[in-house]
Amino acid sequence: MISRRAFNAGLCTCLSGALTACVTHQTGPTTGMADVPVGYRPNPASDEAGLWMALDKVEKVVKVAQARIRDKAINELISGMMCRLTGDHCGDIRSYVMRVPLFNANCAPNGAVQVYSGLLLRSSSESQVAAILGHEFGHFLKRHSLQRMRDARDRGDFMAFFSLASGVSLNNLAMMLAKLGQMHFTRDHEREADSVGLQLMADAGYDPFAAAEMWKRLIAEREAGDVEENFDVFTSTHPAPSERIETLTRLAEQRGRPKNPAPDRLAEALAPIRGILLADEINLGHFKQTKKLLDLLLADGRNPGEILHYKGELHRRRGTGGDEAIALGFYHEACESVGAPPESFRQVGLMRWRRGEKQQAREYFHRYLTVKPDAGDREMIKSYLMGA
Amino acid sequence: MKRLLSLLLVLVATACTPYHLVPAGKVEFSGKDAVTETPVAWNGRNHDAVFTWTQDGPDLQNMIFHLAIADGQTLATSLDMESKLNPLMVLAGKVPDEISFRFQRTMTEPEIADLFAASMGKVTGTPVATTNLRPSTLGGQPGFRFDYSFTGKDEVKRQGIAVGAVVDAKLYLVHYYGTELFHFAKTRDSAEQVIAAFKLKKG
Repeated sequence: MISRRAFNAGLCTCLSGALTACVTHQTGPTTGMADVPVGYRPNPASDEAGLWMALDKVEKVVKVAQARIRDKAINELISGMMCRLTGDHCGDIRSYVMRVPLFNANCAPNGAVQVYSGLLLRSSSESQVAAILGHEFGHFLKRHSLQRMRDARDRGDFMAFFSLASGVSLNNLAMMLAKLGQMHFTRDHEREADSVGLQLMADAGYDPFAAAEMWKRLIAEREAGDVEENFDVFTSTHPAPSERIETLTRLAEQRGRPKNPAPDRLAEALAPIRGILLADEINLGHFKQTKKLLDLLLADGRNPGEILHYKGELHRRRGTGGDEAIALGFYHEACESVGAPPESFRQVGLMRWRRGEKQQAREYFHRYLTVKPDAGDREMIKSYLMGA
Repeated sequence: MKRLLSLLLVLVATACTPYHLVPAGKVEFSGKDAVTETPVAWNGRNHDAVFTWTQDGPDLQNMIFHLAIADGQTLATSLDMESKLNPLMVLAGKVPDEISFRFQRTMTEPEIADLFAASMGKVTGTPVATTNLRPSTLGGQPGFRFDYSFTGKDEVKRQGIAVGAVVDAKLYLVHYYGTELFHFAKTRDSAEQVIAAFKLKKG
């Protein structure tokens, strides 16, 4: 019988996989287990029930977390998309949109789905989000988390048995070999989830080519930041991005474009909160990656004033060399474009004020307070106006 | 053996972050040409180029002093990402895509409040919101004041106040925060008195 400690270790491994492994984790081919049936609940005496119980606790925390975005429009969109993708499983799934500036999502075995804001911000269409949600549901449907937990436990059992039978304590090599096997296992799961997700999104009327497009955008951003993928055929938990793009494109070609235009309500649902998400990205301090992301979003053409404002913010925050002048240019451009936040006017005013251009500064401060009379810094801005 | 190792680890960790008694009365910030007075005693810690005081523990409330931050400096040394770079890696062109948020002597008050929020956000790992920015004084010098709030990763809501001024091109920023439920209010009066008594020796 497996010890409590060993079981807990396996459980932790699995939970970690279930909750963080997703878009950025990979798995492999089919594992031989039946798909999760509609309305499924595990046998209370099973190890799977233990996994669910732990994940139910995690979900209770997520449900009330401050990081949970409660905006009605985006939550309704994501819940609706999950139902569209999962069909009869709709009642088994609960979605939570989380304010986390990372490209990620996950679908736990108990049906709790977390969608990170960084994923939504980076997607240029509803179909791209659908590709990721379909992928995550693929993990759920194929019970990958349960398989990973059992795999980790079996490897632990084997190593313990080997150690007892041979009288040789486990050394680093044995541990490494076990780990390598595990990584290969998770890569297979990811490949399977990619495949399942693409079929689901195509069945739901989304554009299957969006899956590869999403990855291309992400890779462009990472390359801009000189982020090395660090893919290693032995140790990576994910297939190589190039392999994923190739496979997803091939699968999409097999399915073809949807006969009717794919639904695309993402931009409208995201609009009320996009400024907050952009600010979160700026706060990461990843200048090159964020610059690329903003360029991609600007090319998408939605509310360009908002994107131009945050391009200004990006340069102002860095504050080296010619950043001040570049930032001022973007703020000015934002002020004349659709979707500029009130803070664009304030920033032009502040920079003009700094240069001693009091009259222009005053004009922009007035515009700022006209658009945002209840601004959190209005008393400070008023003091500039009185002193100008 | 394991217990001994654990004890050693605790001792090492404690040694790295020593707290000392800050008695009631006059307090001098060594090397910063600044003084204040406190009506009550605090537990103090000088770390990361920041003076931090607490009464009930750092998870519950903190009074923090960022003093004489010069042009180009971060609010805390730990926030200076470039200083942590390995010179050999820099030579090899392997520079991480990470910039530091630095004080600039020409910053306006809203920009300093923004710098504070971004820096605190890095420290707390959660978004920090500022509001009610208005003119004020610190140590008799014209400056600014604002309120702020954040919810830590422990899901506990906290609120705070900050008062600052730029004197001789250096930023002096004193702020205080505590749990919204109890500790912010508990020690706020003492914190306000410390802020009111704050003086620069040059000022």
